Amino acid sequence: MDMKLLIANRGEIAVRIVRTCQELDIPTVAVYSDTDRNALHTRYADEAIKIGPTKPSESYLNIPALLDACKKTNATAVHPGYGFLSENPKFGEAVEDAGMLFIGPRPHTMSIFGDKLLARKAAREAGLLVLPGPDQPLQGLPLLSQIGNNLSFPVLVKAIAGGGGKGIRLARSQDELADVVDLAREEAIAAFGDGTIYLEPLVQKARHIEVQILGDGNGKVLTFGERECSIQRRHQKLIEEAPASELSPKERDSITAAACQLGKQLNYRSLGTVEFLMDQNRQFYFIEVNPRIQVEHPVTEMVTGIDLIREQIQLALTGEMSLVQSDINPQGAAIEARILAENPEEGFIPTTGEISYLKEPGGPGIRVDSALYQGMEVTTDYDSMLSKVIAWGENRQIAINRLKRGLTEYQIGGLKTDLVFLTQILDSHPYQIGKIDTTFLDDFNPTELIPEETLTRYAAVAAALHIHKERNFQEHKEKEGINPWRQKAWQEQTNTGS
Amino acid sequence: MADYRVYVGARTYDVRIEKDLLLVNGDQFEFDLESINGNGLHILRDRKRNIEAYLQSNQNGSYDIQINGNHLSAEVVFGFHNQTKTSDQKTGQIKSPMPGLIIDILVNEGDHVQEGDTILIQEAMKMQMKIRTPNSGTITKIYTKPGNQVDKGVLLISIDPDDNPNR
Repeated sequence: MDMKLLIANRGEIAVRIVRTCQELDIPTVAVYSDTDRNALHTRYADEAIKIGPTKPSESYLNIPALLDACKKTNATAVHPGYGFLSENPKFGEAVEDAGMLFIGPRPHTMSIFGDKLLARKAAREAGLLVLPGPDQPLQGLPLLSQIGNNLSFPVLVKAIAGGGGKGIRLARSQDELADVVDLAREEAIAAFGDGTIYLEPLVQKARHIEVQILGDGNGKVLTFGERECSIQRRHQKLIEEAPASELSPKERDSITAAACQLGKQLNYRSLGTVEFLMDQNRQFYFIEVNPRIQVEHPVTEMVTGIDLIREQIQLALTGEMSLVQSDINPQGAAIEARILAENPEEGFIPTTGEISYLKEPGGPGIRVDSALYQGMEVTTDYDSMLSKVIAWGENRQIAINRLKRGLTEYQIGGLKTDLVFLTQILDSHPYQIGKIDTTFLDDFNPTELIPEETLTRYAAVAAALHIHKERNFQEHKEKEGINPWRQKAWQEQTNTGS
Repeated sequence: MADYRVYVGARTYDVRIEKDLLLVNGDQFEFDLESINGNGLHILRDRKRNIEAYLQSNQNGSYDIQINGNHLSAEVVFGFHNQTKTSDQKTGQIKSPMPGLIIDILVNEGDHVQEGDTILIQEAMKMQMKIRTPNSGTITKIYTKPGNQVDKGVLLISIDPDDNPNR
């Protein structure tokens, strides 16, 4: 069967999917909003079609516009990427109703995982350990002691439709609960259009560990091993790695088996990630399933050597998996760092600007998944993630050293990013020894990689020399038309003078 | 010889550039700066290493500089005004440090200014420079106006210094 794939997304993940399609000789269609007219994904794909204005609700979240684009381009399949409509069962349903292939789970599966309480119930039924707490949404504002289910403070107030770290609030007491409940409901309505909330105990110093699975939709489920994503800010991942550091083989087997069990129970189709929290007693609790490709999938690809998008597309095309479990043998360690248009020095506020200069890292074991290009205007219209750098090494320490090296090579001019901050995390002792949990950044004190005095002196000398040369240039130009930049006058004078 | 005072964050550097000599706060260095692509990318070299520095000049004589992913702001002014005073500083004569266009004059005759205040903005090569007063005093005369193209060394503003011994 011939496939023509429309990618209902933008940014690095759209570029990422196009790349695999090119290797598979599958024609691709990119979609774009007004601001993304010249974006990288539109240039990498075979075709590109406009779907609407910049506002996501009118373009990348606009189901009729996307279906229309499919029709106009004769697309036969749709890949939703991550974010946007990737977890929306209505979108999957609409694509399938239009006679196309949806590259993702069945809409019914998505609706289970789109409701965090239904997901808990499904996980419990599959025999997974689930955090205590009621399976019902929170009604009004009851006393915690009356809710039962062994729930005690501190608790997290979470949106039933939540995701991406949004709609989560912490309450340490009944008073705080009263303060945040209405706020959480309002936030949930604003972010997800559904104000239903529920309570979950806060797991202190938890580690976030997740398992990558691929199901054929008929009860066969493969696992590609686990990832650890404990380095988070605002409940959003910043650095991810595979395998999870410090897991015993027994713990690894038990967590991957649990994830596969859930997949089998639901006849899971396509790629998915089963997320767990590990508490300080090394007990795993199911938290949720992301029924789609994830941002951090490259670390799994690096350790397994398998292109997950390729497996996902081929499965959708043929209905059969090309791999068996024994084909999947993770080697070494891989770490991913997310490059954000955010300023860590000011509480990760978004930064904007034109990419005036760009030099991407390379060399052994480094992969860059990016949609950046020189001249690109970074705005706050979409997610702040600009690109990802992934490093592989024979062991975790080599991967850390490589990623540090790669991040130092990365030069992005025109706006502030978290590049230096990421390097500081990798450079820190707790990270290096794998002593990490989701509170890591709460009391993280970055140490300077280059002494501040040295750095500021470089800047001062560069600025002074620059102005000096510009002045000389101006004077020379007037007199003789000589360009001191070309002449390297200063350097020559230094050499002859010494 | 040329003297530049550079402010980077909370730090101040006095950079003196002579023919074959570069002094930073009195210490000798052997830095050279070379443009790589005409688009802001430079190599700052000393004997031991090459440092990539990405320079963007902003309005008002300030620079955004990126070194190894660190973002720094630098502001350059001509002269080290609290050191041994030159005759110009004694007499309070502000002269054009470079040929260029007068963009803005921030003071009026009769105004009182403090040492270090920005009094004038000049542009050369699309690069704007803040000209600061080397001494506190009263503006006695302004000889130019925005839009004027001036040569190097032209008298722009006269100041009657507060510590004028002839007064």
